[in-house]
Amino acid sequence: MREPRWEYLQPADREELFAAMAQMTEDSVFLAGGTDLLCEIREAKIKIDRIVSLGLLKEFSGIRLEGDGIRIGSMATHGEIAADPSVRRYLRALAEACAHVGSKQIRNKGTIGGNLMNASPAGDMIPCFFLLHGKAEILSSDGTTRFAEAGEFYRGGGAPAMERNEVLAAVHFPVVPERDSFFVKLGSRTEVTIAQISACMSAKKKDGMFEDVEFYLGSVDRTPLPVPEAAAILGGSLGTVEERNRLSELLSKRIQEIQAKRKRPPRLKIRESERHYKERAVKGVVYDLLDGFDRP
Amino acid sequence: MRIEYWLNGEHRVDEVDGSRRLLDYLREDLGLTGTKEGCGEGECGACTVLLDNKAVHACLTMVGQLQGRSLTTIEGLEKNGELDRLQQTFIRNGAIQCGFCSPGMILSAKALLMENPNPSDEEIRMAIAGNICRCSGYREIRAAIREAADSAREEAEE
Amino acid sequence: MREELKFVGASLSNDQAYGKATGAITYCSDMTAPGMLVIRLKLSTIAHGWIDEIDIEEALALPGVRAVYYWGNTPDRKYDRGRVASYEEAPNQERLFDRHVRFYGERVAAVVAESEEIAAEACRRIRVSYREIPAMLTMEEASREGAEKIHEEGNVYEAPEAGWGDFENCQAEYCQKTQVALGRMTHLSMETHSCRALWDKSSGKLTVWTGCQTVFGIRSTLGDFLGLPYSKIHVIKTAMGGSFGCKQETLVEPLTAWAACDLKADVRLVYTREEQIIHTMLKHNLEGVIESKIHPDGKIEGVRVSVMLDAGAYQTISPSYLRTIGGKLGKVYRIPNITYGGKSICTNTAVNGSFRSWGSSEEAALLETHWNQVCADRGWDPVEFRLKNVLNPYEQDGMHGVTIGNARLRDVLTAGRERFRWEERKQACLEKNKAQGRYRYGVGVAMGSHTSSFYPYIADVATATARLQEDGSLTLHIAIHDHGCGTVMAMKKIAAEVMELDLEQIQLAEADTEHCMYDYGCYGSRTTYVLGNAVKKCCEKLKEKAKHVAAYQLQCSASVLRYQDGRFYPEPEPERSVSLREISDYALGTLGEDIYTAYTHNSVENPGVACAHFAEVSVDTFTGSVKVEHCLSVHDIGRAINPDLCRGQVGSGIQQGIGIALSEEIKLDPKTGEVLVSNLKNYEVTNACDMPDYDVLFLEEPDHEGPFGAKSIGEVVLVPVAPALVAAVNQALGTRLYRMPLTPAVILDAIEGGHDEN
Repeated sequence: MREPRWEYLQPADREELFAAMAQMTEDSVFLAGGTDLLCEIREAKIKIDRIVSLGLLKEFSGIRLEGDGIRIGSMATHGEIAADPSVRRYLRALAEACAHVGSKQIRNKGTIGGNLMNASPAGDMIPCFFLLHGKAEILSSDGTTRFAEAGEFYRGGGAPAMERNEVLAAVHFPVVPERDSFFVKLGSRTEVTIAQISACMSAKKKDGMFEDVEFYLGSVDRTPLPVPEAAAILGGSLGTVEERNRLSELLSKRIQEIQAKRKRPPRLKIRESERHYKERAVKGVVYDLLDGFDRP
Repeated sequence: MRIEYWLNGEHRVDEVDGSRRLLDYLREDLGLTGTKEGCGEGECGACTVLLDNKAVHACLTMVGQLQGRSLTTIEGLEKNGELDRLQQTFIRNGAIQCGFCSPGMILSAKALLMENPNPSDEEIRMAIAGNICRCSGYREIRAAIREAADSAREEAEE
Repeated sequence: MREELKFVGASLSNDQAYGKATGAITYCSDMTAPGMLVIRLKLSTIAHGWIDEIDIEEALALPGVRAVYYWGNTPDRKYDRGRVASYEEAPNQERLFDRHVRFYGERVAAVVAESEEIAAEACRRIRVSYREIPAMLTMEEASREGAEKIHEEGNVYEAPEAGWGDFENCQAEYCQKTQVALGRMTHLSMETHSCRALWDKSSGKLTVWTGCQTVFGIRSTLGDFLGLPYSKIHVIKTAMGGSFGCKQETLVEPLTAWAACDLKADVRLVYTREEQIIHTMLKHNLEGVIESKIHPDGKIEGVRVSVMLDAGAYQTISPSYLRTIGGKLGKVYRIPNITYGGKSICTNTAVNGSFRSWGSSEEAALLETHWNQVCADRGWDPVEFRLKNVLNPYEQDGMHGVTIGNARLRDVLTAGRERFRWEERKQACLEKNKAQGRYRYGVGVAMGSHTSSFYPYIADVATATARLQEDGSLTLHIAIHDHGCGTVMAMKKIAAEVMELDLEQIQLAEADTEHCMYDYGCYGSRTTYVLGNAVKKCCEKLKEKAKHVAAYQLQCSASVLRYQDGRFYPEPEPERSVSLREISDYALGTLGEDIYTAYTHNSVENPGVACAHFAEVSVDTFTGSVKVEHCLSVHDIGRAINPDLCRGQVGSGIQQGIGIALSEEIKLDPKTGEVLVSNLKNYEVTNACDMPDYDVLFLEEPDHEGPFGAKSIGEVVLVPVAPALVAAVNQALGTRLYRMPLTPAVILDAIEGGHDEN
C-alpha cells in the first residue's frame, strides 16, 4: 500500500464536517467535483496538506423549490442543474450556462459550488449568479449559517469573501415567474470551449416588449460586468437592430476601457488582432443573446 | 482510507490513498489499462469512465470519490464473452482506427444510450463532443452509435 | 483467383478491432513488468543559453531513484532523429543532453526511478542554473548578419536552386505575387510518444518496443549510437495510437535505450501531452512567396516559389523537407518554367518536423492559395483555370523526369465540380451576399497530389516472406507499421484474396527486426502500394510452390491443376482435390520440403494520386467565426481496400485541414519562446459538434501496378483541404487573408481594418 500523499477526509454528516474543518490549515482544500482542483494539482499550482471531500454530504446536494425560491446545493453538478425542470423554467440563463459548460464529462462532475468558489474570470455560472440575484448559503463550522448576495460574496473583486471556517453549502435564487432570462457564450468552438465573452440578461416580457432589463457581461473582467444602461437601451422594445448596435458599441467601449487598465495583456493574446477581439466580437454576443432570449 | 464501491458490477473493498488519481489507480494498481491518458486535464476524453452510469474523466477524479458508487470501465462492457452492442457496432462501422480514443468514446456513447435510448444526431454529437478522435471525422462513430440505438429499440419492440 | 473480390473493397473493420474495442490491446504506455523502471524528463525554462550548474544530488538521494542523467554523465556523441536508413547522410546535431540549451522546453535532465511519482518528484528537486544568451525566436532574427550561432555550422541552410526553364526571362502578360504563411501545429496523435527498452542480462540483447514507423531505421540509429551490433538490438513496433508524422522520427528511443543499457534494466518512457507538444516536434511554421506569369488565356507560363522554413532549434529533417516541397512542384500542373529556392532556418524554438504528406500539404497551401488569388483577381473560375493547366495521366513530372502515372488530375476536378454542384453553390453564395447581412458565404476549391511510393528518390524495396503452416493456415511477415489506419487489415485482405482463405487463417504481425526482412519504413504512403504488392506477389509465389507439391501428390501435371478456396484439383477430375493442409503434410512428411517463399518487390513506378477539395463556408462577420457548411473530398484512390477506414481517413484529413486553415495554432511567447499552448485547453481542435457535413468521392479506376489497383490515401487526404477553405473565406469576405490559421480574431481584424500584418 502506498503512503497517502495527503490526508483525505470525506465527512458524511455535519458533525464529521465540522471536525474535518477544525483540522484544516491554509493548505487544506475542499473537494467538490474536482474538475478544477485536479487540474491545479497537475499544474503544481498549489500546496496541499489535506483534502476534505464534500461528496457524501446530502445537505449539499439536491435542487428544490423552497418558499419563493430555488435552493441549489453547492454540490449539484452542472448536468443536474441544466436538466432540472424548475431551473429550466424559472432560471433559464442558469440552465443554459450549465448546459454548455465544458463537455458532458465535465458537466457530470463539475459543481456550481466549485465554479463559484474557483471564481475564474471565465466561469460561466458567475454572471448568472449576479444576474439572477443569487444568494450564497454559507455554513460555518460553529453551526451557524449566513447568506451573502453576489456583490457581497465577491466583494474582494475576485476570490470569494469567506472565512477559513466556512464552507459554501448552497445557492439560493428567487423565483420571479414574470421574468425570463437567457445566457450565451462565445468561444473558439461552438461546444466544449472557454468563454471569450459571455452575456446574460433577464427581463419582464409584457405585450411582447422587454421591461426592467438586467444585463451582465462575463469573461471580460475579473468579475462580471453589470450593464445598467441596457435597461434604457432595450427597455420597452424588442431589441431592434438600432438598439442592438447601440448596446454593442457601449459594451465595446467598456471592454476597451477595461483592457486599457490592465497592467499586462493576457499571455495568450500575442497579436494586436487578438487583443482587440473581444471589443469587436461582443456585437455577435449581443445579437445571439437577444435572439436566444426571444426563442421560447 | 477504506473505500467500498462497485467495479464493473462487482463489489470491492480496498485500502487506498484517497487523493490518488482514479486514472492511475485503474491503470497501475488494478492493471486495467483500457482507460487511457491522452492529456491529463479533462480535454480529450480518452480517460472517460462511467460513475453511476454518467461519463466522467478518470484523470479528474480522486479514488476517494468512488465511495459507495458504481464505476464502469471499458473492461466491464463485455459480459460473459459477449461484446456490448456498442462495441459490436463500432467494430462493424469502421469506427475504430488507431483505437486510442475508442474506450472513452464507447463509454460516452454507452452513457448516452442508457440515459436516452433514442438520441437525435445533435444529441449524439453533444454526448461525444468531449471525446477527441484524430483519426476520423467522427462520422463512422456517429453511425455506430446510431445503429446501436436503432437496433436496441427494435429488439425492445419485438 | 476468384472473379469477384471477396475481401478487397469490403468493409470488414480493422485489425485488432476487438482488442481496441475492449481495451485489451497493449500500447507501449500500457506495458508493465515487475521491476520495470520509468523515466521522467526535466525541460529547460530558457530559450537560449548554457547550463551553468546542474545539481542532481537531492534528486539522487530520493529513495527509488536509480539514475539522474544530464550532459555531464552521458555520451557526447551526436545522432539524428531523421535518419531512417543506415546509409543515409543526416545533419546529426542532437545529443542525449546538451550543455548548450537551444529552446524553451529542451531536455536538460532525466530521472530513472521506480515509479512515475518518484521520478516526477526527483525532477522537481534537480536544480539548474543557466547563463542566458540572446535568443532568436523568429527566422528573421536568426538569419540576420552576425546573429548568435545556434549550431556551429550556422543557423541557415540554403537549398540549391531547383527547377527548369527560365522564370526570370519568361514573358507573359499577368504577373502576380502572393505571400502565404503557415503557423505551427501539433499532430495531436491521441497516444503520446512512448517507448520501452529492456536490457536482457542473460542474452546481452537490447529489446526496444516503440510505436514507430521504421524498426530498421531506429535499430541502425541505436546501434551506431550505443556501439552495439545491429543483430543485438531487437526493435518491435507496438500498437500505435496515431502518428500523422510525429512518430516517424527517432525521438524517444535513444534516451530510453541508453538508460536500459546503462542500468542493465527494463525502462519505459511515456511523454505527457505537454511534453509531446513542447519536446517532440511540431508542424513547421513557414513563410512562402509565390510568383507566377500567366497568359491572358489562362495558361501558366512560369512559377517562382521561395520558402523560409522554420526548423526550430535543430535542423533534423528540415533541409530535406524544404527540398521536398520544391520537389513536388511539378506533379500537378504543366509549367514550362519553374524556379524554387528556400532556406531552412534554425531558431531558438521548439523543433519542427515531419507532418502528414511531408511537404505536399505545404506545397498545396502555397500554390493553390496563389492560384485562387489569381483567379479572384482575374475573374476566372478556379476549376476552369485548373483544368486548363493540369497534367494529363502519364505526363512527366518536370522536377524528376518520371511519369506521374495514372494520376487523374482532370477527373477529380470534373467529378468533384459536378458532385459538389460548384456552379450552383457559387451563384447561391453571390446571391446571399447581396444582402450584406451578418453572414457571408463563399466557395473554394483546391487540388493536389501525393505519392504512392518512394521511387525514384530512393530504391523502394519491400520484402515479404510467407510460410504455409502445417494446418494449411498462412503466416506472413512484412515490416508493416500500422498507424491504426488499417494497413495490416489491407495486407491480410490481399493475402486472403490471393489464397482464397478466410481472414482468420492469415496471421500477420507488425514490424519486428527479428521476424521481418528489411523495409525502409512507413513513409510516403508507400505501404499499400509497395508492401501490398510484395504481399500479393509473395502469396502468388507461395501458391505456385504449393501447386507443384500438389502435382506430385496427385501424380499429375501442374498445368492441369486449378485452385479454389484452399484446395487444388485437376481440372478433368475435380473430386480428386487436396487441401493446403494435406499438401503441407505431404511436403514435410514425404518430400522433405518446406513450403515458404520470400519476395522482394522493387517498385519502379510511383503513381500519383490526385485529390481535390471543394468547400462552402459561412463567415459570421460579427464574431469572425467560420462555419464549414459543406465540403467534398475527391480522391483518385485506385482501389479502396478498406473503404470504411479510407473514408475515416478522409474525415481525419478534413479535421486537420480545418485546423491548418482556421483554428489550430501552437503559439509561442514572443519574448521568452515558451510554448504558450502546451496542452489541449487552449488548442481547440475540431470536435464532433463542429465537424462539418462532408462528402467523400473515391474514383476507383484501378492502377495497373497497384495491388488490386490500389494507390495511396493516408496522407493525400490532408493536402488540398486548407487552401480550399482559405479561398472560400476570402471569397465570402472579399479579403486577401493568407496567414493561416484564419482565426476569428484575424478575420474580425481584416473586416474592421486591422492591425495585424496580412
